[in-house]
Order: sequence, then structure tokens, then C-alpha cells
Amino acid sequence: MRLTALTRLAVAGTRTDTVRITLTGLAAAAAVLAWLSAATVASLGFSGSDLGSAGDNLRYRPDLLQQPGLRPGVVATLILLTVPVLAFAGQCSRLGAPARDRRLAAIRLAGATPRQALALASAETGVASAIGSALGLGAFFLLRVLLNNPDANGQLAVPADVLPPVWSIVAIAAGLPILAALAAAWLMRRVIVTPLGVVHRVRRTGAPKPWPGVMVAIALLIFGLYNPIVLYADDRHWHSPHWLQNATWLAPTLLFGGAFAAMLGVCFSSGWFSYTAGRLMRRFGGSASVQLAGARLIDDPWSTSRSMAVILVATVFGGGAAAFYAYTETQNQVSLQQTILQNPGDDPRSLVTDDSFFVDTLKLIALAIMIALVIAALGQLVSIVEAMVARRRAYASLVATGVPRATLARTAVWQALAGAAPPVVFGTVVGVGAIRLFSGTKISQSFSIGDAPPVSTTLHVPWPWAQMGLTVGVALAAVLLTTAIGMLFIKSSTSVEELRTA
Amino acid sequence: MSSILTVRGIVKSYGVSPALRGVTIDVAEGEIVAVTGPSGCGKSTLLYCASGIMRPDAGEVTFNGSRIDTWSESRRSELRRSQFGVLFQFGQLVAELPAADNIALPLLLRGTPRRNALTAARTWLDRLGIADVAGKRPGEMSGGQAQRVALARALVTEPRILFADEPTGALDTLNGETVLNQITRVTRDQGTTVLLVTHEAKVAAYADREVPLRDGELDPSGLGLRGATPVGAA
Repeated sequence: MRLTALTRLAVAGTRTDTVRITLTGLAAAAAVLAWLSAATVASLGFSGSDLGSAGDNLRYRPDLLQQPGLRPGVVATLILLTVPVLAFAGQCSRLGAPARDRRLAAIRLAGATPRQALALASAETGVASAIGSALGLGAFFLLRVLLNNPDANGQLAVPADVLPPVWSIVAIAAGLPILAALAAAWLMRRVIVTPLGVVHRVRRTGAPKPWPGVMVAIALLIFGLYNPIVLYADDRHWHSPHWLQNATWLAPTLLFGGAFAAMLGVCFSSGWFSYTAGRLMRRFGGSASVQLAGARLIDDPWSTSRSMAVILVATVFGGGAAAFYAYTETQNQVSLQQTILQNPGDDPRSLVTDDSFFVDTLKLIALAIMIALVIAALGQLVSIVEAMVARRRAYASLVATGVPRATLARTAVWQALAGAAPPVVFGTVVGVGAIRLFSGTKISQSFSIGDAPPVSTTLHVPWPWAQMGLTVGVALAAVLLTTAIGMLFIKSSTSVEELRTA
Repeated sequence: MSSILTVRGIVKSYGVSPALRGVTIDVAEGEIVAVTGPSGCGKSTLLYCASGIMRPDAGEVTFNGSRIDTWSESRRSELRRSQFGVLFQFGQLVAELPAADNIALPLLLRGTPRRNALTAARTWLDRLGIADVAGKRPGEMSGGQAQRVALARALVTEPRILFADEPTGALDTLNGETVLNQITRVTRDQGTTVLLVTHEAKVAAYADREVPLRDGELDPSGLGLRGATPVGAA
């Protein structure tokens, strides 16, 4: 098959296919823009002079860009922000799936080989991502021109005056569509396109087990034991091998690995949570909607992890950020109390230090989490609507036999809430727990003047209940909101006309 | 006449339900054979196995001297694209493509330049008297027009055998007759062999020979839909 024919057949479709292709393209554009921005920040370097010293570092207004030590965090955040975007694109790939399946089967009937059918399915994602990648690249260069606008101090808001290496631009712009096409092909591994229709091979597994909790336990162990081991080794004057002394990558790798294990553990645990919630609902639920929702959770316990993975990851980050905020607040209070004790004659209000940098950083983290939540909620909305459209005939037949639409709506709400609430709470607790284990729950500082005994201040880091509640509340509100929006489609999806659809 | 297609001792089950229990038929080159029988007797399964769409559980399918049931899925797909044409009751057209592109599809899949493929498609649209639907999508055509587009697509590669599964099952009497007349006229003109599946006597009447099936086996009575005249299975 020629490339032109492949491209034409890949993008042939209905309005739903156009929406899917457009959303995939937009997601790719956003991802390329974020990755190019990360490459630009990375090209500034991660070592060198800090703010206040001479040199290039004074070019930028935000401290996060001026201080080389903070740039890895900016790069990591920009890269992590693409995760919800790509997850959203993944959700969008389900849009119009039944029509696409029929089209692929018809093309197979016309003589396409299985490999050609796979190429067609992957090419759609590849073409959409390539267009999106070109858009993202264009937006990047446009923004560079627009934002290369120094203020009165000659400082820039973003590093618009720096271009990342050309190889990195080419790798990002060309790599994303290739990666997207490969990912689409991988996602098709359980889909068999035959001339008579599309068969989705379902891997029959037993009930989900709570074993992913082991990953969470390992993650918490890494966070909990890292500092005590380092301190113990320091106290005993352990002489580590030369290679270990120079292994600056080890600590970030361990901690990043721990965070990754925690996120994976929370996402995979959601299967067990959903299944258990479903069983409890079947056992104790009184109403038809609770029974129906329980049955659905038992039938497909992994639907929560598929549609809510990004929300769960965001709750881990949200919990972590809340614990970090509580720790830093406590540390500031300890420092303030120590300063007051050292300067008894001064007005305590004059001794309060400026923590705007800290507050700004936390605001940025909160913003990143909110963006991730919004994108994740959009992805979940797509998932809900698509599931409703896919089940429209079953819904229509239920309504035709006398089941009220309100019961179906309540079923959807029960299913969403019962599937989401336990892992959302778990994710938040894991995030808070990881940071509390890493940073400790008690902060002490002391000073002494002359031979006088040291004056110490000790405060316990409180559990950030309010922020935890906020994280859980925002996540569940996002789930409820998307479910409520999805309910707008219930009337059209339960029309008796659906029973006549070929 | 020599056999172009031989199906020998075909067995096929769906789970624990047997669909075919050892069916044997020979089809001669240029012959029009109707496989008939009631619903659920295994007619369509026989056609799927004979055309390489499905692999039988046991038995052999030989086309032009080569055993094709052992071939890979890709190789059987290529065979369907080059030597076989397939016509179903409905649902075989790509709903998103206009008629001309639908007909050109098998040619595009084997690498024919689009311009040449579309020229061939238009030739077939003219030949079947439906040139006016070239730019229409299947949803914008009548059932008879859509079925003739499907026939054009099945024949555009000039296949050696046309497999037709209830080709007029979704059409009214007039459109059904038009399609059947075109199938027989065009295939006889080209010398194309036809294996068609039907449960209707008037469709079976267009065939040179009828092979009646019952419960996954050749009907031992030999009596087909065309009347009391016993018909040979092989």
C-alpha cells in the first residue's frame, strides 16, 4: 500500500473520527510545546552561579529559572505535565471506536492484511500527532518571538533568548509522532481485526488482589529509610567507595523511583478497591442502582484505573505537596521562634522573613496539579460518554423494559464515586505519608550564646488535614462533575430508537 | 471442466457448537454454484472457510492446486485481494468512503496508484449502471445501489472466484433480481467462478448447480431448493 493511500484511508472517517484526530493533534501539540520548553530550560544548565552573582543568571525574572539548582525541578514538572495530556489523548483514542472497528473490518474484507489494518490504525494516530507536533513546533517558535521581551531591568519572564540544541528539537518534533504511532500499535495488541468484525481479546483474570500495595510499601520504605541511613552512615564515618561518593545520580534516582512506585502502586491498587467496593455494595446495597453499580465494579474493576490514573497520580502529588507545605511552615515557625529568642528586644513582626519564593513555588506546584486534574477530568468525561454510547443499546432496552432513567443515572454516580473515593483517599494519604517519612515529623533547632546551655525549639509537623481534605474534595468533585456532565447524554443514549440502529 | 476450488472434509465448530461436520465439494472453473439450506445449517461458515476468511478446524481447502487453509492470515488476505472477490448481505462497504473509493480499495491496498485505481472503479460503476453514485457514501445510496457498489468492489480485481453470502438478502425483489442478473452476466462474461450462499429458491435458480446443506453436512436427500430434482454435491 502506498503512503498516500495509507494516509488517506487512515484519516477517512466521520465527525467523531475528526474530533478524535483533532484532540490527538492538540494533545501532541501541547506535549511538544511542553517538551521543547523543558529542553530550553535544560539547555540553561543545572550548575553554575546562583541568583545575585554576575553572569547570565540574571537574565530571568523567576527564581526558578535563575537558580540552576531549581531548574531540574522545572524540567521535571514540564515533562510530568505532559503525562495527563498524553493520558487524555489515550482516552480520546476510544472516541468513535465502534465505527472505527467496523471500518477496519470492512477494509480487511476488501483484502487488507492484518498488518495493513494495524498500519492504518497506527497511522491515524501518527498523522494526527505529526500535525500536532508541527503545530507545537510552530507555537514554540512564535512564543519565542512574542516572549523575548525584556522588562525595565532587562530581565525575561522565560528563557526566550535561548534555543535548545537542534538535535533535541528534531528528536522531540519527529520522535513524538513515531512514539504515538508505536503506542497506538501496542494498544492494538489485544485487538484482532478480522473481515467479519473486530475481536477484543480479553485477558481473563481472577479478582484483583491487594498486591500492588507492596509497591506502595516499598516506596514508603525508600522514603522512610533514606535519610536515617544517610545520617547513620555519616555518624559512623562510613567510607563509601569512590564511585558511590561521586554517584550524584543515586539519591534522585532512588527518590524518583520511590515516587514512581508509589504512583504505580496507587493506580494498580484501584482495581482491588473497586472490586472490594463492588462486593460490599452487592452484599449490603439495598437499591437497584447500588446493586447495578456494584455488579459493574465487580465486572470491570480496572475501569477506575484506566479512566482515573491521572487523577490518582495527581492526588499522590497533591498529598505530597500538602505534607511539604506543612513541613516548611513548621520549619519557618521554628526558625522564627529561634530568632525571637535570640532577639528578645525586637518586635516579633519585624523578624518575619520573606517567604515569597516558597509561596510562589507552592503556588506553581498547586497550579500544575490543578492543570493535571482538569485535563484528567476531561479525559474521564470522554471515557464516561464513550462508555455510555457503547452501551446505548443495553441502556435503551433497560429503559424500554421499564427501568427509570433516574436509576441508570444514579447507577453511574454510584459507580463513579464508589470506584473513585477509596483510591483517591489512599493516594492522598500515600503522598502525605511519603513526604512525612522522608522529611520527618519533628523539627528542632537550637542556639547557644557563650557557655550558656543551648536554647532549643522543637515543633511537631502537623498532619495537613485541611489540604488533604481539599485534595480529596477537588478530585471527587472532578469525578462527580464529569459524571454529571456525562448524564446529559443519558437521554439520547437511552432512546428506544437506539434499538433499531444497525 | 477442471476444479478450481476443492473443499474436502471441512469441520468447523464455534466453541462446542459444530457448524460444519465434514463437508466436501468441488467447484469447476466458470461454474456458478449455490450452497443452500435453512438458517444455521453452516452455509456461511462453509463460504468463510472456502474463501480463507476463516480457517477450518479440520479438512482441506485447495485453490488452483494449492492448499490454502494452511496459509498464514496475511497470505490468505493477499489471496482474497487478488484472486477472490467477496460479496456479503450488507456491511461490507467502508461507510466513510465514497463509492468510487470503496471500489478502488482492493487496488489501493495492493499498491495501485490512486489515479489508476479510481479509473478502474469508474469503469465498473459504468458497467453496472451506477455511475451517478461515484461520489456518494454508502449512507446516501439505496440498498440496491450499495450492493452493486459492493459487487463492483468484489470484481474490480478481476478475481478468479466470487464468493457471495446471501447477496440479495437485504434487497427488495426488483433490486435483488437486478443484482443477481448483473452477477451472472458479468461473471459469465469474465469466466469468473461463483460460489453463492442462499436460502431462497429464486436465487438458487440462477446457479448452474445447487449444493444443499443440512445440520452442517451435505443434505443426504440431495433435494435442494430448486425442486425435487436431486442435485450433485461433487
